[in-house]
Amino acid sequence: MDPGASTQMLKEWSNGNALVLEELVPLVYMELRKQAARYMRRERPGHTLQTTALIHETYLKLVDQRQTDWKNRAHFFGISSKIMRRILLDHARSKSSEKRGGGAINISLDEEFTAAQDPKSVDLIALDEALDRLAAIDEQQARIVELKYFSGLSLNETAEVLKVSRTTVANNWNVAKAWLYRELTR
Amino acid sequence: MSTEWHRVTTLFTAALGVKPEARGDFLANACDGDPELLAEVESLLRSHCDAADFLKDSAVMEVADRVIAERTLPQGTFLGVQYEIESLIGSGGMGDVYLARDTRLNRKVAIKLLPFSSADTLDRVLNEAQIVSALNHPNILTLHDIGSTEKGERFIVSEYIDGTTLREKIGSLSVEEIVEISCQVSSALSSAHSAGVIHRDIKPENIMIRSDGIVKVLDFGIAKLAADSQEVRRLDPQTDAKNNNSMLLGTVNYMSPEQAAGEVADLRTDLFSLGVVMYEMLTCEVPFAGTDSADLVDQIATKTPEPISHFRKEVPPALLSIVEQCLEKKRELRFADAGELADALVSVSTGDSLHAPASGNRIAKFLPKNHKTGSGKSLLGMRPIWGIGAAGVLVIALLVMNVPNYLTQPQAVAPQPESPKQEPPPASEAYQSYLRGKFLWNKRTGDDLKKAITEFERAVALEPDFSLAYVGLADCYSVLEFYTGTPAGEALPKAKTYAEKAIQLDPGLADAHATLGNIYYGMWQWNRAEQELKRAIELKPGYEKTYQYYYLLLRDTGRPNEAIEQIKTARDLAPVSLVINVSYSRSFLLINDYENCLKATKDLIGLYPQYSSNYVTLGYALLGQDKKDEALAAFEKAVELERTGQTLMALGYASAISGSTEKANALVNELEQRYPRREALGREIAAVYAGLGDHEKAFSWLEKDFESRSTELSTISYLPPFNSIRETPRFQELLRRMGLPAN
Repeated sequence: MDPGASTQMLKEWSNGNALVLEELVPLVYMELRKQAARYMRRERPGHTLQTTALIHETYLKLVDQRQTDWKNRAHFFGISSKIMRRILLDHARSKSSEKRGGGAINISLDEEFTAAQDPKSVDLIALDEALDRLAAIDEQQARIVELKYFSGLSLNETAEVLKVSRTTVANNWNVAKAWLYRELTR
Repeated sequence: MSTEWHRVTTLFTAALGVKPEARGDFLANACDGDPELLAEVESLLRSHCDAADFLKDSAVMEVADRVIAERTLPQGTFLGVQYEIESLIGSGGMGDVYLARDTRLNRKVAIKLLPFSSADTLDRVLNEAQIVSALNHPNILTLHDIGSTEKGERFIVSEYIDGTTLREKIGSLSVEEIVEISCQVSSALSSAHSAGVIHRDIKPENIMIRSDGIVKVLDFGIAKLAADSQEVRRLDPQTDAKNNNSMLLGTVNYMSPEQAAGEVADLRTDLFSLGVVMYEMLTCEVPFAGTDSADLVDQIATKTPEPISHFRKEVPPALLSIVEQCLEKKRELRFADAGELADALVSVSTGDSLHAPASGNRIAKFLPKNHKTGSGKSLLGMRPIWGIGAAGVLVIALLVMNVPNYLTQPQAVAPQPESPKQEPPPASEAYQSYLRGKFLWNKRTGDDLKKAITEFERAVALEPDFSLAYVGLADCYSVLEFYTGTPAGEALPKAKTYAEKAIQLDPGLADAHATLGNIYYGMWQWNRAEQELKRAIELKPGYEKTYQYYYLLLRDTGRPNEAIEQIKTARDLAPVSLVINVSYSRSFLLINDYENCLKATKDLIGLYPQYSSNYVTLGYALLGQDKKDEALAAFEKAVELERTGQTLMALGYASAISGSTEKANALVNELEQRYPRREALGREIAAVYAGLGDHEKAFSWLEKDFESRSTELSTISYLPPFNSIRETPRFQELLRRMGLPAN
């Protein structure tokens, strides 16, 4: 991938050319896939995937470093977070339609049981809807959740991308999390 | 954001900063007179306490899983009938690469699914890929097969490389290693160029380093596909005018000035790209990196790269000037070909500058002590793999031996001195046909052999002096009996004519003498066979095939000790060749050395646990030690792996002599039914009858082989199942009629 081209696209996108997003999404997706495949190959049992590295390397591959300014970087992470959110949502939707449809017969009780018991498992469809509602109340908090949860950025990185202080990110992340949790457990 | 929500956020954050026991008072104070606000903040604080683990781990890992799973073939999927997908190991513009298992040959393979392209382009590309693989060069990835999925996607099956790409090594390479890697890549390029194939996309991602230090260049010919790939086009909507779209995305940094200018690539194009790779290995930076593609193209065309010495001090001046010469803008100023570059690199590596003691695990140990003569041996007991490309194309045909349906395996090959007369001008059409022929011949199926014959015929029609192509024809006809059932009486005389034609054109062509020797062996003309084989050894002492042939001859003509010497020499030359190792393990049977036979066979089974012939050898050795039950188990295993005349014969014979008459009868029946289909030989049936004590039937079946002049009937002079009848006058008479020594 020629970094010049995607950097150009990012610029155009930030200048309001929405059509470019259509070009950019498959490109980010393809690069993400390539990086993910590399990670899968390199991972050995006992090592955990360095989650932020995945998105960072995708970024490095796609964006020309010489012309990078914070704006580009923020745009890139903005897009990639949205793409990752979409990937998970699509998957969750197709899974849940399987469960509701004929596929339900094939899902064993065990599987449903373990899914329900896993404290870390998140209902992605509900989360997505709640995140939209949060964005209506506080857009920045919703973006923080996107960047931290879907792109795996740290507090510092999120702060850099949003050009706010680390404390602001931390405070907003806490309240957003509490709000979303309440929405999902109502 | 509403001011209300802002207040909630602020209060929530402030409350978190207060000790839990003091929060109640704090909030009551702060929300004075606003019970709704108080309730909201308190509710959120409760959620906060419960949500300790909520969204704690980012979803990236799961996204990675999803991204991989989507459009990815799941584990266990079969491509074609024999390739079972294990996992995705790479993905790029040129398609996805999977680790898979070849269930027929029980080995790991790499499978690349190619992007959709026009049939014409695909054929052209695959053709080039086959040509390059047929070169059998140790630094070029070996292609096993090409297939299509049910959806019509094409895929390429190649050897699986246990190693990493050069990309992952950059940053941790010593100068010696850099020279060695460059040497091996040049060697691969030189060989491919001589076959008329330009890589066009040399970059660190296309160079793999195996864990033993051997370098493999991937994707010859395949770069072309990029130009035709819809996907790539779609993703490159603003291809700029200078940058013709035959260039792969992502590899612009390794592009040559002529590619940047949209001119036709030639072999020196690859040398430029290799220069970029060398520069990057030395400095960890690419020499040209523009701010965008237009700028990059401009830099490639005009910029002098920053001197390597600015990045790295200890680089020998000779190496610096080699890289500079590769990076010359004008092709004429670069090395004339990859062989010349390789020579220059070798002189760096043997020069004083690099003569510091090399550490044991350095890949530099593969460097030849004696370039192009190949006399040095590496620590791994393999011959130095280097120098082949520069010496021209080697023909490493797999060996013909007395094991039907044997496997073809990549072999370590030794550099050979070549006589310049053997090659027509490189890259001619005839030469390409010839290489395609070699590729098909190596696959060893009846159909492929017929196709190989067509290719070789085409080569000699185009170049009537093309001696090696005649050897190709001779080789094909000499094994035709095994694979297509064409009677030896028909095929061998043809084989002989072709081999003689080759010798007539080029009397010094060792390959032709070796092949002719083996044909004479098949025709039971023992003296002539020996004469030709001796001549071949004289002409090309490093050619393992000749020693393998010579072993067969000596074995069948009652000269066991000499036979063993020959097969040992062959094994020294090609230590990893399966066919040679099978012969080697069996050679101990000739002198009743069952102990060593067992040892060698068990070693071989460790390497090739699915290869049926090894269990046949094992069984014979155990029979020699009178361990009938164990022998039977070994033969059962052989039959289970592969039901061939050879395995059925062994099991049938062993059953017969262990008193399982019924079983032996059933097996001999099966063999007799196979015979008309040419799936069993007369002597295989005879062996079981010999075990059953039915000498009459045994001899009548041997006679059938004799009448059809079956190529390797002479193996009866050593095969253990004939031990019981070998001393009978009738058997001795048969040997005499074949011209073999008899009592």
